[in-house]
Amino acid sequence: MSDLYDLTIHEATDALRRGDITSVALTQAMLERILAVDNTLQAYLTLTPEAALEQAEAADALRAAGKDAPLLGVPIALKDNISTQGIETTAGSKILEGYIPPFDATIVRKLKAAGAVILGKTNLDEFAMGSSTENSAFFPTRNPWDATRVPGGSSGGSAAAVAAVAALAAVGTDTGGSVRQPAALCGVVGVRPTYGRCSRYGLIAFASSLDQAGPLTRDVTDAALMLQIMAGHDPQDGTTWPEPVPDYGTALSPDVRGLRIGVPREYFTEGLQPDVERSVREALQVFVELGAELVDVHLPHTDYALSTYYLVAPAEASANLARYDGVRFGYRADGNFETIGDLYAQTRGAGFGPEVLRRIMLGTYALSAGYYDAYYLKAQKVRTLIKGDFDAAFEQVDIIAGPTSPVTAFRLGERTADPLQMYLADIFTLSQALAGIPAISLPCGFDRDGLPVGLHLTAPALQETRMFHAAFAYEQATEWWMQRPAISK
Amino acid sequence: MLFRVSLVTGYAKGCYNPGAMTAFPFHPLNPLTERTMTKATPLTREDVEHIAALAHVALSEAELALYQEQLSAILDHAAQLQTLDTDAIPPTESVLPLRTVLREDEPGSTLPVEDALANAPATRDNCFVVPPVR
Repeated sequence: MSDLYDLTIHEATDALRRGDITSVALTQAMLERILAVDNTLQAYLTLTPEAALEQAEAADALRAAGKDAPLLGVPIALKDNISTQGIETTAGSKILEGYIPPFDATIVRKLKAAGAVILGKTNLDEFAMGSSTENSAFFPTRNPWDATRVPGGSSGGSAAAVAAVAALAAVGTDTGGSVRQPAALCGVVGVRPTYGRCSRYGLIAFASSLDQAGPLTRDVTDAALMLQIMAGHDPQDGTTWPEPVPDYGTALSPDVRGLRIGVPREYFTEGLQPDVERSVREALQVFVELGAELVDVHLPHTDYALSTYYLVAPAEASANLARYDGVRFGYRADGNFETIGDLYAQTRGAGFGPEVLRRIMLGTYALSAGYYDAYYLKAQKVRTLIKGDFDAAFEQVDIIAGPTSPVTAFRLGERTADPLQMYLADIFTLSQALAGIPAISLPCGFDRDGLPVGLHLTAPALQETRMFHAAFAYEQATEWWMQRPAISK
Repeated sequence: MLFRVSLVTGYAKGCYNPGAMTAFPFHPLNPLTERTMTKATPLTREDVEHIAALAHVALSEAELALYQEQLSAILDHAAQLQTLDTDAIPPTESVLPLRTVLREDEPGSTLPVEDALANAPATRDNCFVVPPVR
C-alpha cells in the first residue's frame, strides 16, 4: 500500500505546492485507508466520500489556477458535535439521529475557507459526556494501538482517526479534557485553546462556560497551523476574545533555554500509573537538557477540581439539553400524548443515554431551589480558587507540566460500571478547563504494554504561543511522535 | 429548605465503602483519609422522582433506583467542597474579562422558514405540531 496518506499537514501542503501529489490522490488514499481500518476502529460515524472528492477536485483546480490557502486540499475529520451544513450531525446521541444542520459552525466555515477537504464526522461519547467513547449511542471506537482498549474520550473518534492515519488531522471539542485525554491515549497531539479563543457558534452545547474546540494532529506544527485557522473573534459568539490571533508559526523554535517549567507536586502522587510517571519525568529531564529550568510549584486546590467540574458542567448541561424535547428537531417518542409535558418526558427519557440522563439529573438537582447555594454556587466559588492557583503559579513559571492522564488506555468495559471511576480519567485536565487556560497533550513515551503516554503542558490565558514553543522544542528533541500503531503499517 | 450536607469527622480506615471507588486509589477521591470529611445525606426515592419531573425525563423503576444510588455517591463525593471556607470568595461568573458584549442592531439574513422546520418531527402550515399545552 502507498505511504501517500502517512503525512503531516505541513508535509502534505509542501507536496501539494510542489505538485508532487494532488488533493484528489491524497483524498482517495485517505478514503481507502479508512475502508481498510475503520471496520476495526469505528472512528467515523458518517463518511462523506463523494463530497470529499468534489472538494478535492475543486482544491486541485484552484491550485492549478495559481491559488493557495493554508489547508488547500488537505483531508480532515470533524467530531460529530460540530454542525456541518447538509451533513448529519448527531452528537453521538439517538435524540439527534437524522438531524441535518442548516448551517456550518464558524470553525467549519473557517476550515472550509482555508481549503480543507471534509472526510466525515467522527464518533464521540454522547453529547461529549465521557472519557472513553463508550457512551456513544451508536458504537464504541477502538484504540489503534490495541483494539481491545478505548481511545479515550470524548473526542475518541477524532483521536483514533488521526492516530491510525485515517485523517491528516481532526477537530475535537474539550469541555473537561475531551481533546487532550484521547490525544494522550492514542499517541497524538491535542490542544485545548484558551476559553473564548475559538468560536463556539455551531458546536452542540454541553457546558457553555467550558466548551472549546481544538485540533488533534500528528505533530505540534500541524496543531499550531490548525488553531491559527480556527481561532479568532466571532460576532456570532459573544464569549470570543477580541484580541487578534498571533502568528503561532513564529513560536516554533527549539530554543527553550531559560524557560521556567512548573512541576506541581499535586500531579505526582500515588495512583499515577508508574510507567506514566516515568515517561513524564523523563520528558521533564529532556527540557532540563535543553536548558529549561524545573520549578516546584503548588496547586493546592487540585483535589477539588473533580467535584467542582461535576457540579458546574452537569448544571450547564441540564440547561443546554433542555432544547431536546421532540418538537423542533431530532427524535420524538411514538404515541398519542395527552399533554406536551408527556411528549417531552417520554422523548427525553427514551432519547438520551444513561450518562446524559445522569448528568441532566445531577445538574437539575444542583440548580434546584434549596440546593443552588450548596452545590452550584459553592462549585463556582471553588472554581475561583482553582483559577487562583494557576494565577499564583504563573507568577513563578512560564509553563506548567505534568501527565495528561493518570493511566494509559484502559480496556473496553473496564470503567463503565461506576461513573466516578470514569470521571477519574480526566483528573489532570479538568483544572485547566475550569480556569479557562490553554493546554496541549503530546506523545512522550509508551508503557510496558506499548500504549502511548501523553505529556501535558499548560500556559496562561491567551499564551498559546508559549505553549506551542515548549511543545515544539520537546517534539524536536524526541521521536515519540513518529511512532505509528501496528494498524497503520 | 434544609442544606443536606452534614459534617462527619474522624473516619476510620475501612468503614467507608462507596462501591468500586477504592479500586482506583487515586488520592483526590480516596475516601480512606484520616482528615475531617463531610458527607451528603443520600437522596430519597422521592427526591429522584422530583428531579426527574423538573428535568422532564420519564424514568423506569430500575432507572430511578440506579440514579438514586449513583447520584447519592456523586453528591457524597462533592460534599468535600464544604470543607473549604469560601465565604470571602466570589463565584466565577466568567473566565473572560468581557462584560455585556453589544453590537449594532442591524438586520441580517435569517434562516428561511422551510429550513427551520426541515428537522422537525411534525409540522403543518409553517408551524411545529405538538400535543395540547396544558
